Amino acid sequence: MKENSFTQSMAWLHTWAGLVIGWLLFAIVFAGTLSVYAPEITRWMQPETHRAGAAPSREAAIAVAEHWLRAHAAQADTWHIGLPSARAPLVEAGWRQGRGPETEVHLDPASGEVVLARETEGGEHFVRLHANLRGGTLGVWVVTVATVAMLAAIISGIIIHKKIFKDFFTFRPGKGQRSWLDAHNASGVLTLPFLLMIAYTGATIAFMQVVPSGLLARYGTNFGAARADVVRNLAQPPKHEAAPLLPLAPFLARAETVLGAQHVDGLVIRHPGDAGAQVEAQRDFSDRLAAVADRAVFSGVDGRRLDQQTDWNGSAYAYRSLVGMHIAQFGGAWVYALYFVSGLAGSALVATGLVLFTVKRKKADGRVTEISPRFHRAAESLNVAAVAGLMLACAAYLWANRLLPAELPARGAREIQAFFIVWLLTVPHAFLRPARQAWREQLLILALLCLLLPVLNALTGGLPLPQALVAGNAQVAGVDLAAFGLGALMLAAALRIGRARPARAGRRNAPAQALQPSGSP
Amino acid sequence: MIAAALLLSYAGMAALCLAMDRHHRQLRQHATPSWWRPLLRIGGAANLLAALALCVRHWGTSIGLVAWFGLLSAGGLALIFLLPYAPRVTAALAVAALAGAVVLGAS
Repeated sequence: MKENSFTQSMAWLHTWAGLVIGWLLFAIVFAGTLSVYAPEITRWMQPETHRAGAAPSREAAIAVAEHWLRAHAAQADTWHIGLPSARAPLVEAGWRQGRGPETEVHLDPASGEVVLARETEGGEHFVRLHANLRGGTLGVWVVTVATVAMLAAIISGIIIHKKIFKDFFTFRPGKGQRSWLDAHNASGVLTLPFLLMIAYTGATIAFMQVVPSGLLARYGTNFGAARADVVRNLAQPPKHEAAPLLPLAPFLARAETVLGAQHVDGLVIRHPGDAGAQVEAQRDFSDRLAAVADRAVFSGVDGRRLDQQTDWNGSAYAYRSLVGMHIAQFGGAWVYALYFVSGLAGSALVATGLVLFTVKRKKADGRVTEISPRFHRAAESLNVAAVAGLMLACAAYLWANRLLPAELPARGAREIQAFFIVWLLTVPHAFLRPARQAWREQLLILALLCLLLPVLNALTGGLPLPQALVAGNAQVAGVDLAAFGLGALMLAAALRIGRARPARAGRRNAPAQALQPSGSP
Repeated sequence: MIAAALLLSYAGMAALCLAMDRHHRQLRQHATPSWWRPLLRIGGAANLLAALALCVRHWGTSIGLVAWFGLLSAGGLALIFLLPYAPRVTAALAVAALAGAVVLGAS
């Protein structure tokens, strides 16, 4: 028998890189998938905002923020106004003193009242988990290494997939290992363009930290200079003489002539009340791949256009196109939905790959091949905690959001603790219970938490699902419905594991023996 | 327009799939008839290209291309996980999707 040794070594790489990194990769990919809808999750997690009204116009929304800032932050050096959008319907009014931290309130654009929303990181938690596993600089390294390993796993996966075209549409359910392999292949092959794109762009996003050699050669350690070469400094110092600030709403029309209609998403006002006051309008990038925010600056005293940056150098377009493709802020609801579906398929790819590793090495009679039974058992347990446990922790995070008192100090941090505590607890559970039961129990709890999430939402001050649907509140209804759908899927999976069990137990006389690795040869 | 593109990508994937003997047997008891195969292949490819045209018209080339790959994945995933469970429904849906896309595209 003459096996192609290149294919063999690729298979080895795919198996082991995939397994070791897969335990983390599932969390990274699943959190990234949820991050597509981070603004929606944030709003869901702040039920105080569910019933906010809509602004009659964008000018009116600016006026609401301006009114508040003039009354409460007249002395501040800088104001910031975030315009409401379909995804974030409140007006943001922020201010800061010098280089100090920004203070921010959210205002109901219809009533002009402050909306006192509970403290939470909301969907940002998933964004950070995705970007660095909430581990700071070290976390960025870990995620980048995992991403490069993911690229290696994708490419080696293509190489070892011998019948990539013949099996393109093949999925044979109910056939054990065969079905896991089919599902693994199908979720990988059908989303291959997305997977390659997301892994490649993900690996390059943190280039300033992980491969800074180009920047170091050109700028030394002064990365600020690198940034200044790309993002022009449009700010001017104050003149230290008083002058009234013009009303802000008319700046919208002025800015739109430069930046494009309906594309202004925020204003920064520097030195309000000073003769050197500036109003800077920032553009969204909803209609372009490159995540570059064009800007236009006007005098706050007479409304003249002072400066603008609507053109960027080639390197900025190249890098920010990669970033833009990764963070998917373009193209609207269809693109978000496609990224979400592709992300779910990517999560399924990692999960089925992990399961396949253990299924493939366990024969019908319960014997473990290739690896030690002890290692097999550990891999099975880690699979449960890495896949079901991680999703369970995500659901628990949303539950903690509603069960912790809204006034609790540092409650945002408590929610994140709840996430990690639940995730950690799933590890001993997965090791203590037989693998099948561990899968079934964690998936069942996950299913219950997800299926009951709309009920929890309605009972804890959120906009109930029927009302959200009637009111056309797609954000709140969307989170409820997505959770319910995921819950139904997980329930089906848990029940299927439960059904398949008696057959297996019948084959082995004592199912408990499977727990004792020493019993196997 | 994008709904039409999604329907086209599903219909296109279904046609390419049924042009393969193995999958045609899931629907009928026999392999793909030889006269039927090129029709399915060309028709399927044409559907996918039409979906691309709709994406580019709606979003421009750069976003349109990214979204098109996403639509191909979504259409393919829906097809592959439906086919083994309900082959007739899968095929009927493909015909309905094509009709729906024509109606949506014309309106």
